Amino acid sequence: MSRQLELRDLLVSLFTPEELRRFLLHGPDGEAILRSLPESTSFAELAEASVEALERRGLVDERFFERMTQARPRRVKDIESAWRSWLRGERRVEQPKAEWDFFIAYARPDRLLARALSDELKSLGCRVFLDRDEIAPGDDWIQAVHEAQRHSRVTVVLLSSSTGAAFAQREEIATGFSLVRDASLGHRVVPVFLEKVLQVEGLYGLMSLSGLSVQEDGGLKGIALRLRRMLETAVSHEASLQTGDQELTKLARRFFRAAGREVGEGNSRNGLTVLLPGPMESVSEPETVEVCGEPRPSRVDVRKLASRLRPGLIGYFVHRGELPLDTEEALNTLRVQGQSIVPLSERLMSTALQDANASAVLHSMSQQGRGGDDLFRTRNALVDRRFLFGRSELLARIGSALGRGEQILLTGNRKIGKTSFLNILRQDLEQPAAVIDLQRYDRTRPNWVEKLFHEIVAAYDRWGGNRFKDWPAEPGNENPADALELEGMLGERRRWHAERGPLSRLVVILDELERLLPQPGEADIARSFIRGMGALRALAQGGDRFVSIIAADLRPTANRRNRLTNGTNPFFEFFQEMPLPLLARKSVDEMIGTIGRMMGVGFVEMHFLEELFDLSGGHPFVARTLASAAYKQRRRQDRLLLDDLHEGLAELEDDDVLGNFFDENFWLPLDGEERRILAAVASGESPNGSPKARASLKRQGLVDRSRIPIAAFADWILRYQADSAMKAATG
Amino acid sequence: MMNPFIHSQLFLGRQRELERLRRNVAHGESTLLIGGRRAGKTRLLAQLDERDRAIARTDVGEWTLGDETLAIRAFGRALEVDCSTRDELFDAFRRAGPVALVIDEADRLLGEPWAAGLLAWMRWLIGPHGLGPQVAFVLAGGPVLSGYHNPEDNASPPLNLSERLYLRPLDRQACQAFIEVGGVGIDLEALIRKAGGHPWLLERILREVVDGQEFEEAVEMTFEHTHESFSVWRRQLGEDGVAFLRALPEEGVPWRAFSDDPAWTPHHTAMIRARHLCMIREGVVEQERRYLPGPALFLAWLRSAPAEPEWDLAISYASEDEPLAREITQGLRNEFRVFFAPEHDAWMWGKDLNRALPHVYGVQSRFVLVLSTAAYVRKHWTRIEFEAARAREGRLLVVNLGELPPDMPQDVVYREGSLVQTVRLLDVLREKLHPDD
Repeated sequence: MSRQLELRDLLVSLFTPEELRRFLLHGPDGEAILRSLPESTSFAELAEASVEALERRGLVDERFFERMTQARPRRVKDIESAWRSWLRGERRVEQPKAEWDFFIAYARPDRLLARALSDELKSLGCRVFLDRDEIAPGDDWIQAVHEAQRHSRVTVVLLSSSTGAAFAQREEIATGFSLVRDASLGHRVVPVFLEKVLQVEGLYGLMSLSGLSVQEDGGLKGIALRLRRMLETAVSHEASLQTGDQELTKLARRFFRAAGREVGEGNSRNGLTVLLPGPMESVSEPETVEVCGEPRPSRVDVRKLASRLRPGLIGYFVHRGELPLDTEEALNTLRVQGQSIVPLSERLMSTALQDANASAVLHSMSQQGRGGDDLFRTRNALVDRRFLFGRSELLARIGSALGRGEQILLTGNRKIGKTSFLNILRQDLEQPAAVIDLQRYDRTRPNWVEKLFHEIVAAYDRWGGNRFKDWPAEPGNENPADALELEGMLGERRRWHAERGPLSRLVVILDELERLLPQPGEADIARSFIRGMGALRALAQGGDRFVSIIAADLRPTANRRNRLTNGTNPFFEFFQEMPLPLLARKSVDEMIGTIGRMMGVGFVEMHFLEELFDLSGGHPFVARTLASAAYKQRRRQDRLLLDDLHEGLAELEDDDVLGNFFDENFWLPLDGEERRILAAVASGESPNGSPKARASLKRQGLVDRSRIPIAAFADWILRYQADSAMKAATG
Repeated sequence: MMNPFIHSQLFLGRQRELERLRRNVAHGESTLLIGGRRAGKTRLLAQLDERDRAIARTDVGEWTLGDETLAIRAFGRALEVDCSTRDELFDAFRRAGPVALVIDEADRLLGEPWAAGLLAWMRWLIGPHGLGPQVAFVLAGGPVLSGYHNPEDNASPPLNLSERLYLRPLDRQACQAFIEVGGVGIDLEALIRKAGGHPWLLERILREVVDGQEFEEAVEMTFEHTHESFSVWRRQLGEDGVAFLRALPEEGVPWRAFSDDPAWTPHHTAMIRARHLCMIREGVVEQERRYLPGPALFLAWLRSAPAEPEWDLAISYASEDEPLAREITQGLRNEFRVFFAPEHDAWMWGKDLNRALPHVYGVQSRFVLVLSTAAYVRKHWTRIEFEAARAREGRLLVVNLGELPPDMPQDVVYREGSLVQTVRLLDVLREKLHPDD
């Protein structure tokens, strides 16, 4: 019997027709439901129509069964039994049936290689779609290719220098990604590099994926073998996904447990409950988690979760992929109404598990999700990609550079968002990654090197443990004493990994590199730096080149200083430098508009945006600080006007908030020459001075074409610093 | 009747600051609570209750400041856990769940050589790769907390993830509330004139009045009990702060003048410091918000105060290093009184240098900066300066630029030549010269 019929029978057994109507009338949407029911019919038909109407509105939920229990307390067992049946009967989503195992996307000049790979795969028993083989004369070519790709499990993209100009192939790559984004299809995209060094602009998503290389993975035959093995793994993964949202629920459980929460069963279809740990446990109530994997979560799912929340408690909304726009809007609406629903994506959770920072991520997300809070305020780096604006092009460039095996040094001014950028970039990485914030190490104690090595191996093991059930090592058990041991341990893991699928480089992300960079004369610190970073350089440049490094620093000193006190800097001329620029005007507008909408601000005056951009120059922290101050002073709940900005600015000035920020983060790190140039520019003079100092200021975004783009900073210099900077320079 | 101002824990007029602090703590945002000596920081912290997260407390004033391990043990004790390493402390925080660690008198940490590393680690702890907003720190201390950074470390300033919350002088309403608590009939205006908006001075005066003293007598007795703190306030104000208070007219200055009026913008930073030391007050005059002179008790003392040591810092150097010494002087002279011999030729003219120099370096300076080179070690006059300086403990700041004096005391901490970059050296000196709370 279906769960609908079971519920119908229960209603018939609990109520008379009149009682049923009254029961429905006193529930949510009661009048509308009653109006939709047939007036003269049998009781069974009336009950069945009631179930249909309730289900259509998403009202057959925990609260509905609670109300029935209140109405008929003696029948609690029957009601609970029906509730369990209802939960068990979750619908299964029909997956489009895959006709092809592999769809090969290639540029026309690579057609011979595409044919050869197709032949290799077919010889292994795989079903391969290669357009030239499968489309009959007279077929609609475009339609046929599109249909075939939709009905394939994997899009294999052959990448070469011809890809950049191959319009059709780029379309197929885009289609492949749109299929990947619809998690219900279980589609995958695998890049295959036909050439050793490859630069293809604009294919960021692709370059950040684990890929195969003709040179490194045993030619086309080796690639075919690896693809088939990957397919076998993917098929078993899909099978498990089709049993509802079990995988996502399991991931959510692990995530919450790793964040220190006690996890219990929820009362809804895909629900969990989580409890705060520690001393607050005794005073807190369980929070609700709703897992919404299949189909993609809608605004109705959000509202259902909201309806179950107790006042003041947070609800967590676990989902796959990006949220549809209307679901985002539903979240915003609830937020403005004071309800706190925190969206947690599969990607965010699995990355947090791999980085062992689930607690920090959960707290950050919860902090943002609280209703009634000022979202412009920000001190810590972002973990939620909805708050990163204007960086997609740089994400793409770094993705491409990583694909080419380059090492990246991200430079930029304080609080411009380097760590936030790295956090979001890291979430996009499929390959193993070790994220190390170097502030955690004490530069004066040489044992930071061993701790760094330990953390890199542990991160590799966490990645492997999350990906393979039989990964051979537990995270945190290895303590490499030197570079050789580190290389040996990573090599073991890499070999194990190579036997099971396509290999990809381990990405080591080093944030706050300046923390460990020795100053002239610091002999002991230099020794440790050379030992630790020399090991990483060797791994990145040795025969296997299986490590890629992304470092972040205020200035590119680590890449430019050759000599350290007692040796050569291993990072000298090692990185490709990528400055993190100030945001463009449209990105600042988007940031203010989007965050404003999250807080119920539907209108931002154009003059407000113009002046905000002028004052902040596109520095995200400065822009958000100004917007936050204006938000506090706003005269109308739903608007931000120029007058609000002026009032906010005056308040900031009164507490010297911006002055403190400029002094601590911009002014102090500058040398005397740089300060003198800035003082001259702020006073309207031309930026004369050494080319090195001018270049440094430009790179930091502090001077651009003879002006200081952050007008609030220029003003601060003029009022408070110019005199002393000029005096210091002239002696 | 009990005198409500004896052993008082009254909390009046700081509701706005408390709400901001509560909000930050609830959201897991770290905060620097900055205020002058006896401006009410500890009493504000005492109001912080466990509404949204557990609160653990420690007071650096009660620690033995030896090394990082002692600090970690103290943090552990606050969390009711025994730990002595960073890893153990991390575990303790992780297990504690959402928690705020309140560190009173945190500015005492800043001068410790190991503190910079620990503060950077704390920054990591509250960041996305540590425990994030699960942990919030509340560091309370004097003005030196603002703008602290480790000059030997180019990384992000360890406290720049924290919001600064400055104490402000109490307003009229709060002063009135104090009078009402005392149940005495005294003139509000007279009280405000004498005590400004400084809570400690207010309480001291009212305590004497409740005990039966006439107002003027109460003010005098208060002066006798409090003037020991005045020299600390003076140091916390700094030279520019003192100059600002001397320039501030009786009728005050409109608040926007410090942003808009070139006559007052140079005083902007000093005004803010004076405000969170409660040495000025805010008021409305002819419907205009203005900053007005603070406690007359203190300001009168300031005008007639006995001389402090003549100099905050005297620089002792060989003539070869004069450019560096000059640069240091220029960097510090706005905030501190620096003795740099070439600028005091007139003063030294006709003096017996065998007597004058030991007096400057041995008695009249709070600290002596020694730029030690091979030439310094061998020259006659520098030897005289060094011997005078080393005669009193705790005043020597030595930068090793190649060679150290052979008779340098064993326990003097000296900084290596890596600090020759003037900007860094100046930062170290600023930290050292800023007085403790």
